[in-house]
Amino acid sequence: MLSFIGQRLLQSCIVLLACSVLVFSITEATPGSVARKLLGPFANGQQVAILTEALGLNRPAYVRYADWLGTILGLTHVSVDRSAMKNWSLPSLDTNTYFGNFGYSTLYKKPVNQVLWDRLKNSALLAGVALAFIIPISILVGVICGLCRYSLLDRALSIVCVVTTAIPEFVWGILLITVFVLKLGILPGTAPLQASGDWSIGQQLALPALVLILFDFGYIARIVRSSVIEVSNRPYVRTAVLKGLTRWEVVSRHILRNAMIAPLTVILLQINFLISGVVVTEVIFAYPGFGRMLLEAALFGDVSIIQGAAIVAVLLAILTQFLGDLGYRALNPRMRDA
Amino acid sequence: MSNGIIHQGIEGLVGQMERNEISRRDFLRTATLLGMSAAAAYATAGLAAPAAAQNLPNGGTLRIAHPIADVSNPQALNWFQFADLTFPVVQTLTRIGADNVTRPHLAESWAASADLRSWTIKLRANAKWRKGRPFTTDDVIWNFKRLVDPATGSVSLGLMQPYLLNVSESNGKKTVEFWDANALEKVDDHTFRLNLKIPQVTIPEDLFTYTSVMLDPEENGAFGVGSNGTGPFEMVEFEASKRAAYRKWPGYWGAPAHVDSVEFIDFGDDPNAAVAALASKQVDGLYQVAHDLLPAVKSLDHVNVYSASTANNATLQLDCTQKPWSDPRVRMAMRLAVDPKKQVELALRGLGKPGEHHHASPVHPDYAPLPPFGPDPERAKKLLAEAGYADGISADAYVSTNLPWTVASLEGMADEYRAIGVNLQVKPLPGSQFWEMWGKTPVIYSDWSHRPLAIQMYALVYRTGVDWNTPKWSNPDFDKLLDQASGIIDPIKRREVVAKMEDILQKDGPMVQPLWLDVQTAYDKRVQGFTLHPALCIFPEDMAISA
Repeated sequence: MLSFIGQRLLQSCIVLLACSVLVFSITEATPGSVARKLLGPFANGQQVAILTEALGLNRPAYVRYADWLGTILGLTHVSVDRSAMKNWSLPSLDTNTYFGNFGYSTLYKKPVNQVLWDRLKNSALLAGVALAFIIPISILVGVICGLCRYSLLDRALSIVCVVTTAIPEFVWGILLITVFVLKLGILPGTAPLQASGDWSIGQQLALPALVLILFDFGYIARIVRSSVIEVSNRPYVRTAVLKGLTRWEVVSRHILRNAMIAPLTVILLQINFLISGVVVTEVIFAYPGFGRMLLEAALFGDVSIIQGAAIVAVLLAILTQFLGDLGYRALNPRMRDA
Repeated sequence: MSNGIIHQGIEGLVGQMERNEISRRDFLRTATLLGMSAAAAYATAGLAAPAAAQNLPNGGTLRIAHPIADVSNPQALNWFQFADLTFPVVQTLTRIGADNVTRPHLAESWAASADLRSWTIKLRANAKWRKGRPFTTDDVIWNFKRLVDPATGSVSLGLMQPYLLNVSESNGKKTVEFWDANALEKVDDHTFRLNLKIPQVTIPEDLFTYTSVMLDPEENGAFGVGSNGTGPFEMVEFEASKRAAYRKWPGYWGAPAHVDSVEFIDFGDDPNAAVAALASKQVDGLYQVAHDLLPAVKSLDHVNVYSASTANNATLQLDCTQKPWSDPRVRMAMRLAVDPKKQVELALRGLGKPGEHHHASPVHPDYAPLPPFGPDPERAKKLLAEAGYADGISADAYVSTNLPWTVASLEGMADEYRAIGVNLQVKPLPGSQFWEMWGKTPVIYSDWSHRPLAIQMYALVYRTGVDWNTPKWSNPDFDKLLDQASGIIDPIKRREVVAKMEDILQKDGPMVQPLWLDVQTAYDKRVQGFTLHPALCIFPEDMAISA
């Protein structure tokens, strides 16, 4: 087990390093200068040139990559010569040396870490609420469909699953806002996560979570259904039935446990998606999450946020995959011996 | 007269108004610029002054959906809309109201010399900083010097350059100094004088430019949570792209605010989100309603919708130093090919006015109607052929996706250009990338905020060599006329000069200007005291909210 974990950690480090090169190269290729973004569109060339020099943005890309990586690893930090910028009210770009320092956000005017972890926490909250419903509902629906395969109930539930998954998030968003906000007036139309209004945080979470539940549960339910059907046809299930076990015993002891192996990976992948990829839902409901932050940063050209968020998203993917592998090993004894 | 001195120009204005040579509105605007109080000007014009709402309720929190951008350097802001985030705390010397009339704000009164070259501005004796110190002439002088320092990056520099500054440039470095040692003169602790290089009638209006806010010299121009100011609120929370919150300053030297606190909340780039927030009463008002969302907002029973015709607009700027745009015939052809009426319908759903390609709006008091201009695609084709482009022209035109109506408008214009053989490739870019291209690409479609006078816009954008003249257009006759118009009090004579400038822009100008934008916004019916400002300025101290 220890060697498995060690092996995976080493692989993760290599993947992260490769991704850091990729992320830096891609952001390097995008148009626009950081100095111009800091100073605004009407700053004159002289101001842009001074800041470009002060931030060291005119150095070769590989030197800046090494600096960036060194800053993240806590080996160095950004230092700015502010003597030529006496009137600029620029935020303190100088940052401390610490591990995980992703630099300074030109959009939010604060260290990337302060924004990134706050937004990640918000997205994790939304993902948590959504998953709390998605997992039991999709497993329940998937198992019912799998056990009653090709029945009228299976077909009806399958149609519901396919339709809810096929409808894009933005359509769900508009539909739910029309019904619950404009017609019934019982839920808020946005979720800025500020308790100062008349709506509680729980009420604000309701619609974005509902969109994610409706959009996602059908997909997992279909995977569970397929897995249940596949496991139900296995010889050991037939043997259990022939041994005279009750239907409940067969389902709970032999079908469910084995049928969960494949959906586990899918569910863990959904965690990754729900935390870092829910851009549309977060934008529709003005939810201050990770996806909306990434979109805003991309539109603004906030390179530090894009780079930091990309690395964190990769880290999240690696982590969920790692957990998936651990879960897979726990559910499947054969993997433990492999 | 607030200062006991009647500017000699006012008597002439009264006579003109009585002879119906100028409208009462013209009188109001010009007389107040010359130092007459708004109340006296309204009374002289026989008009009822807009009454401040009476018996407004006190208390509560006013919540407004509003974009939140960095405002750490208020004197270097790039957009009028973000001044809404600074105005509650730091103030300007004057204020232009929703009626387009300029009133004293931190200033108490002003008086201009007969030749409009000397402006004496008296500050309110009771105005003070929140941290206790009185607001004095020294504060104003410090702020003026900071505004014209190129290192500040303020647009005020370009605005004041013609009449207050000498600017030289060598090796790409701009050096700025006041044109005269006495240009900015301290008279006493509450009075200062601007001694100008050339006559200028727009001084009081220029003092309301969104960058001309008075910052506390003791804080060295820094602005943020807890910053000192003379305004009725204190900023207590600020997070870019999220939220800005303000608390009422009980010791405010002027009329106290009605609401206890104000919150501006950023709902992101999707305008639907702000409307959804208004629908579910998460906010009490919106900064602006997009044209396509107006029907949805109008369907909400609990909101009032406000609309105003403004001088907000967009222009297709053509770099006059690069071929083919350097040929005036090509630029003229580009103007003649466009049907402004079609543009208003297409891009604004009819909620605007057709442009006339000279950047003076019918809402501007100095607007002069010219004979109808175009569209005339046939003549446009002939002009292109004469200029040597009978086979057509291909070019990329950049536009910001931040304003969907500008994209729709440019796409509509591109369709019309195809008819004359001009293949304009529309290149929509996110705001950040778009502004990277601003001033660097030969063809760009750029929006402009409302300004109270056409000559202010001309001074900012079309005068030779100013920063915002990105097409690098230069017309000495235009510059001379602009100097001349800036020194004329008589609205009729000024309009005559503006007519000549409009004509020059139509025939030789560096841009195509297809439309004027009407603006709309919406507030909960519980909100009282709101008036829609043509520049969409929000003054929360004038507003109240009922329980």
